[in-house]
Amino acid sequence: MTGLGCPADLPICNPFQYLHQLVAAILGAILPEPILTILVTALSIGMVTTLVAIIVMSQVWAERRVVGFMQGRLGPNRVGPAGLLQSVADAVKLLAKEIIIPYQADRGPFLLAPLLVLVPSLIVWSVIPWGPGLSVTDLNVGVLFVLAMGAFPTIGILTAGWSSGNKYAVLGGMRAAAQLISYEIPMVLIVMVPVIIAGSMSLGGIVQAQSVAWFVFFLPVGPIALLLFLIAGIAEVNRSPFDLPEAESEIVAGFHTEYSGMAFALFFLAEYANTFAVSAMATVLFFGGWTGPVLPPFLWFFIKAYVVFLALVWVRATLPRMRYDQLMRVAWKVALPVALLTVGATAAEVSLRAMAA
Amino acid sequence: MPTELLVAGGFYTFAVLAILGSIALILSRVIFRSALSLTLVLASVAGAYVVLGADFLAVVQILVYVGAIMVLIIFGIMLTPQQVVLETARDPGKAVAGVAVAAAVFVVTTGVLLGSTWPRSNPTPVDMPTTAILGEGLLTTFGLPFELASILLLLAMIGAIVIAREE
Amino acid sequence: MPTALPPLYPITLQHGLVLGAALFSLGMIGALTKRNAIEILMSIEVMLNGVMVTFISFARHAQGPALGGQIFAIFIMTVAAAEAAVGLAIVIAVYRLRRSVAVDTVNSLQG
Repeated sequence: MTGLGCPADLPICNPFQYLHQLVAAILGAILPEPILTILVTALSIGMVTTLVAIIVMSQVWAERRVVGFMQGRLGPNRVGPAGLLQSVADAVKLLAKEIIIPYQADRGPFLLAPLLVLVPSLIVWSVIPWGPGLSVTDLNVGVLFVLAMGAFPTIGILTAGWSSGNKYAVLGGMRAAAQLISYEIPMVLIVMVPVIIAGSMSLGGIVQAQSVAWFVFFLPVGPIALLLFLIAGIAEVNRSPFDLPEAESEIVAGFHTEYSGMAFALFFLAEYANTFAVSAMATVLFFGGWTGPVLPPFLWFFIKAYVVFLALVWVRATLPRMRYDQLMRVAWKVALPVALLTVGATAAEVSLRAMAA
Repeated sequence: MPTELLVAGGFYTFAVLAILGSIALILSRVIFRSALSLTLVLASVAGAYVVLGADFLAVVQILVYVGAIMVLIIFGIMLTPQQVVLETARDPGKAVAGVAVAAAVFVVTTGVLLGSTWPRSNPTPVDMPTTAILGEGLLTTFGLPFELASILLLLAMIGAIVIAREE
Repeated sequence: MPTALPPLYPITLQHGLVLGAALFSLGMIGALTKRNAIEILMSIEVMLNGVMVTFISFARHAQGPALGGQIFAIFIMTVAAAEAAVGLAIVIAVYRLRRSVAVDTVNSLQG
């Protein structure tokens, strides 16, 4: 079901699905069964990872341009037409720099930490549906899987802070970890709101359940849940206005102070991939995923996710950074009670609607 | 046939990783590396749960054990800085006795487990998703332990805050 | 004692039980021989994970009512979380008093 309009079997409407079937048909003639499945899955993983990498490069450019325009100045506009090759320039610069390992640092964990932060951020992309039936796999506990992979980088951040052998890094790491675990609880609770309304934890199932009406219009809990999800999501990816742990003017860059070159590039990549993952989850859970009238489904998904991302960039350009105790107070005294009440109200409303129907 | 092979391959991979992680935990002299080895053990055990048909529990294992309990342990390590390399000022006799006791427990346990017949063992797979079955069980058959567990968690939270608070 | 080693595949009940016993014994080595209290806590977590593997392989291969093995594993996880929290609080309180978390230094009630 693709919403109204573009039927799913037309190749132009669903090019990735078409490509997938074409490759599977060609290879299926040559290879035996288990190798075929493994190879096709590996190809789809490669495709999704490449797509995420391209999206991250566009995000870097888009964020700097949009923040620049909102601050009354042009963003990067030197490298390439309208500054579009800026991300390429950044990537080349970071690749060419030396990875300096400080003398005090514990070498093994120091080099492991960026991987512990990056790998879960990329694994999340294997369950997010880009179109009908178009995800690398559709786990039946998909929502919980995304939450678990969002909880994993906390260990990486603590490892990065501790193994740098630098007091600012340790402090930054502990503050970042405390912020992440505090905002995990309202996040898990709020994510249960679309799960209760849809009756399924698989992301494909939640999108299918929104083919009639998007969950953000499920009054009165929909908008509250969306707002809380975005707040908790911004705090989970350490993004402004919740980015005190990596604030440049306060604590020298926090837990990734001692990282340079490719290792820093991995943290950078992980943060942008995580931000887009939060936007993508917001569209899947609240804005109907890939459903939409005329355009092909994957284009709808991409447009909606990018609009949410631009809203997050707008928030970054507008609001000042929150102080650490204000941040923690919002998590425990505001977000958690509101999340609990919202989940209770959702459950009551769903059962009332079921009884009235 | 290939499914069985894939399942067995997955199980052995995660089992070997878990055992290597626990050996690294015992042998490491830097406590932070022991913490990272424990993370490896917990993550591999989560993978083993997927192979054993517990999908919900695997994801909850990562969310709770790796995402919360490991963070708690690492905070504890950071707040109690010792000399980073623990001095080996203990008698080696104690270490040998400990290993001997654990080895004896392992040998006796595996002997009993492999030697007895399990009458109700059947290889039909668990029907996934297990979430609905677990939810029903927790609220109907196992309702009293569920409520007691929530009281226990409340007590643990209050107790931990009271004990660790600075006066 | 008569031990019948199971075949390498398919994975049967015995495979999961041996993994659980191995994790339990390795955790026991750590719990018996370590000096640092936090390392002992970590070894106890390994032991608890071994027990959870045992329960889950029972739930898979010898199915009881309502997947009781998995539900029991949930309860073990809950108790482990509570125990880790309280244990670490005690360790931090002891460290504040004595500047050390080696378990053989906390013996002022002895003898």
